[in-house]
Amino acid sequence: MRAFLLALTISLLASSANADDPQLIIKDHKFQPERLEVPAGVKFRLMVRNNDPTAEEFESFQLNREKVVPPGKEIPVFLGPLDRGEYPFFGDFHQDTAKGVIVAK
Amino acid sequence: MPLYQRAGRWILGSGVALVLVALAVPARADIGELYVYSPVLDGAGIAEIEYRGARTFDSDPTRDNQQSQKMSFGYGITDWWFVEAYGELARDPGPGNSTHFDGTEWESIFQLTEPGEYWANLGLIAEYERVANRKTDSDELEFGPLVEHDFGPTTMDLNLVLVRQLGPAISEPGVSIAYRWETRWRLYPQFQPAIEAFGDFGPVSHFSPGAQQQLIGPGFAGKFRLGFLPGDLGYDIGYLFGLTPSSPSGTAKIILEYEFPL
Repeated sequence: MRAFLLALTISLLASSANADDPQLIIKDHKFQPERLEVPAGVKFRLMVRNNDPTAEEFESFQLNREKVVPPGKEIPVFLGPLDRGEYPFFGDFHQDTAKGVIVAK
Repeated sequence: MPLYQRAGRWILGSGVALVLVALAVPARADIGELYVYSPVLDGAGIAEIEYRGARTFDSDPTRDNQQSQKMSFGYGITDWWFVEAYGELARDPGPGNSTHFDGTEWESIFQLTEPGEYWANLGLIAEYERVANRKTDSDELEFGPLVEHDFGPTTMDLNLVLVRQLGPAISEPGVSIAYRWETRWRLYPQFQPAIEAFGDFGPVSHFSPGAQQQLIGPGFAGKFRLGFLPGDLGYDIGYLFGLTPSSPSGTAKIILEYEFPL
């Protein structure tokens, strides 16, 4: 039982955003920041938070990711290890304004 | 993902599996199922209208001109649970047959892991098919794991499906095993070549390689924005060659999907 509770605690803590996780904020149908630098060659978790009152979809063909971000919610997007380079992403529901790029260095 | 959520998904999926095993499913050649599922879902609030069509070609009239046409509506209930309902028109192979309403299907897909979180993305599919004529055809229950892995610019998907027939007109008692496999090259969003394979091993208790249907062939998939409408229009076309004497020489398929936020 103790082992289960320990595993549960670790899992709950692990599922929360860490300060080290790169983060994107959606506000007024734009990503902030629009250019996000991340380390190349390592796996990481990108946290995408939607501060708008409507849903958005984080999408990137280059990163092979497509996920709805409900209004007022935050989702994890597991990425990497990435080669050095630029990886464009966009908000599928507001493609005119919601654009950005992840730069792996 | 919190442990309790992950445990909840496994419990829900396993519960469905236990029900299916208890009721028991054998695989039947179903050209309406020439679709490889991904365990990765787009999320809550995404709706889908889909058309699936398929037709066989064979010099043997008993295997020629089998047809299936399905229309469906699906919806993302949560970011890890997608449901879809189908209606199917079908034509049996052979001369003189006509297209008829074949039945309805109810399907759930559960996403168990976040994309990229582990070496493979995992999910489950559970489906119940209710046929229109239970005197000559049987209902079916399907359940199985969905596995996906990215190899550089390619994505490999494997579906393993346990099938059990239900009803008074069972042709294959017991549980059958079928598989669906695809490796797709993510070349452009609008154009992604693929190799696909579909097979039906038949009842586990009566393993008969000569009676199995095995299909393999090229496919092409992609999606486009419609501009004046929200969402994307996707396509998935292919031509599959039969590998066993029981398989039709060729099977053409076309799938059109319109996905949009609802």
